[in-house]
Amino acid sequence: MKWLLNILKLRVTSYLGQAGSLIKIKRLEISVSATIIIGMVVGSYFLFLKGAQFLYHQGEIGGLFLDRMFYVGWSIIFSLLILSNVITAFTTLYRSKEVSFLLTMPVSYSDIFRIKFLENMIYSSWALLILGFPLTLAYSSVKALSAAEMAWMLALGLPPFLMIATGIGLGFLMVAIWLSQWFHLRTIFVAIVILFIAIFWIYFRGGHQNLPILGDAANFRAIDRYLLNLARPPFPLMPSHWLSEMVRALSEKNPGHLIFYWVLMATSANVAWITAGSLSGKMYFSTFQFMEWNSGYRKNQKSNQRSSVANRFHWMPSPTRGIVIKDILQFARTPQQWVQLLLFGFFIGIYLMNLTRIDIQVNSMIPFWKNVIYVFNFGFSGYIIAALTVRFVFPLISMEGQAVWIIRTSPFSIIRLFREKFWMSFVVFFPLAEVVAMVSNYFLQQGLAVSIISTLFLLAMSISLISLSLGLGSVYAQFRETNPMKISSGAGGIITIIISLFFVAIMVLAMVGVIYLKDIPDMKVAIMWIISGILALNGLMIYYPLKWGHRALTRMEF
Amino acid sequence: MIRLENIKKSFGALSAVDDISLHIRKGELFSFLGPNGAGKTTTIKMIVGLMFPDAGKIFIDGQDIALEPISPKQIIGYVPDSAFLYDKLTGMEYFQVIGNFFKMSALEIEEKVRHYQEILGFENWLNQRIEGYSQGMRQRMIFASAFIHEPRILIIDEPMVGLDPGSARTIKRLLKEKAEAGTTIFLSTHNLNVAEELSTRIGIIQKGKLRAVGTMNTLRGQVKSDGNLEDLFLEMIESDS
Repeated sequence: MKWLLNILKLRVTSYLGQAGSLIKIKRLEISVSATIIIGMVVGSYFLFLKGAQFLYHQGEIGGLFLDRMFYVGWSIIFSLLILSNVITAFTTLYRSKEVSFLLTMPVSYSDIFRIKFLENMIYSSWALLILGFPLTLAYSSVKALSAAEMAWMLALGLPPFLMIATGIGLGFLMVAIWLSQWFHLRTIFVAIVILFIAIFWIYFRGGHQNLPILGDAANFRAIDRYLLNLARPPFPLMPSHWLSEMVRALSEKNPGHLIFYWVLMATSANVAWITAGSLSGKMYFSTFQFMEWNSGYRKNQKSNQRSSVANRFHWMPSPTRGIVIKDILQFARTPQQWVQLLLFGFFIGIYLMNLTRIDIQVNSMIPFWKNVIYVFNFGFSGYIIAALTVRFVFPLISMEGQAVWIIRTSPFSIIRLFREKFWMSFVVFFPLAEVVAMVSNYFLQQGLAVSIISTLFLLAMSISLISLSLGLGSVYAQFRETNPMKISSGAGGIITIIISLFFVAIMVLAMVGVIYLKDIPDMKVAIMWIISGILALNGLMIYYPLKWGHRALTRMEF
Repeated sequence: MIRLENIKKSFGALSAVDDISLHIRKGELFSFLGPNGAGKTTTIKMIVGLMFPDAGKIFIDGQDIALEPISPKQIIGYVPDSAFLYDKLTGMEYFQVIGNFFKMSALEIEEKVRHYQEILGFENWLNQRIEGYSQGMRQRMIFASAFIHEPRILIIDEPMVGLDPGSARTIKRLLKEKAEAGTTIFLSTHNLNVAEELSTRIGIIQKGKLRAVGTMNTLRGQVKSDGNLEDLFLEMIESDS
């Protein structure tokens, strides 16, 4: 225990030192990031507050809706925390040079695991800042809780809440790696994601029911049943339920209820800590060793076997084929990359599932609301491409890493490199955005003209956003950074996401213009002007970033 | 085959390469010697296109690389001083990628890999990911990948780093054979025995300036010494510092 405290102290001192020097060196980058994070937290607080106030003033049912919103919010955070823990722990527990060093020290594997447990818990809890704090502050503000009460509640409730999520995430990962002795790690991760989708599906089907629209409900019993279900959370064993019950108990001044849920949470956290610790005593070192050994070794393959990926791309011209094979294999073998893409797909899937439910009520909507939902959805599609391109396309050039000398000393032009990276990104991300747009066109029953225009807009937007991320990713390339997440969250990534979101906003405004003008007679010329303007803007967004990126890469020395 | 004309390169106030001119002919094995920080790697990086000279010109097989940056690379094989490769790829996949960059067919790649795996002894590692390779294994991979497209020019920066004595001997033999077959080799090394044993000519660089160029005999004449290359090198470096 003393050793654990010493390491923790050392860690805090080292982080403070690092933070101090970072503030000196990267002042601009840190201020931009801080402004964005504060902006997001404050913005979401006001958004949640408005929503919470609206719900709270809807009579008896409003309070129930508000509690349910709070519970659902924390359930999402809890699921995100588990996933975030699994992804982060892969690096913290199994790809950390510090672990190799600590293993040479006279310290037990469980102690090393515990220090990494706490480290991982801190690294992966960023989601709370963005979603949890504004949600809780808005909820408590509506429920008239004082700041001191909320601070106490969070100080008592959050640490065990985080520990449970970390315990589950790390336990999952250790078992997954242990199983990878017999199954491919990729298969296990895909199975975990499918399991998550299945759980969510059960939650979605079992926990929600269609809103009984007045006049549609057979009798008052249906409404009564609906209200009863609304008051009863579908998964009372989830820590997110306990946390929301604690806040509710505090607002209802019910100390017995509060203590009960806190004790439940604290004992569960203790169980998670002890179980994960004892599991680590048996599995951590063996799985760590396995990962070290497994990193290079693959059994049951004939020497000299040509890669199956290489066979699939034999129709491509030689130099392009080389870079395509390399990029695909590297992506497929970097779990940080494809697990996050899977997660993106998972969230888009949930969004689409929600969208399908609009179908029930779309006929009874007035055109204004139909258009509002449509424009929101178009914006969401743009946001998806923006987020995906900054996360996955922006680091593409940097991911060449310190092996960039191979490309630079090969007879391979930068233009060809750009072309390959561009098309690889386009064939993945454009269909994703297009699926969202087409599904929404179908369920929101938009006309053919709007569907065609929105498809064209999305096509232009995809090309522009990919070009922007690729170009600026070259201008701000970081060849020494191996973590793609860090590359896209650096100064260059932040600048790119700001420009991308601004650009998406302009595209959405243009779409609003088209939808507004399409029903007014003699406005075809105005619509054509909007489309021409948008095409010109997209032309600039494609040309200039690629030009800057090409110039930067051509002039770059290694 | 390789011609440097008055090339200069500075990093701020530091002049890393200061007005160097050199001409290395076809089939020559030229060793480039100098103490740490003398400008050897900077010169090499400029020849292979990883850096650009502030002044001067570099010609590869008669082509100015500032004007033709791509086509001269088709005939160059480069072995850098650091062994960074595509770690997530297996050895065989890495060779396929490199072979594709140099427009080789799948069959050609397989033939060449088979040839060099026998010579350099990495057949048991070809289907394992590079991230699991030792330093020496990586170095052998880099050599093989520089050789597979049979370049007419080899640029090698510190060839023996991480190699066991057996592999070092194999590499020396390979370089000798390649030079005899007409390949031009530009070799930067700290290993004076290698330079003495293999080189047709030697260049000594210090503080960015080329101090001496010539055969062993010419160099001996310059410092009026009968010693081996180590004695000559140290004498030259000490007299200049």
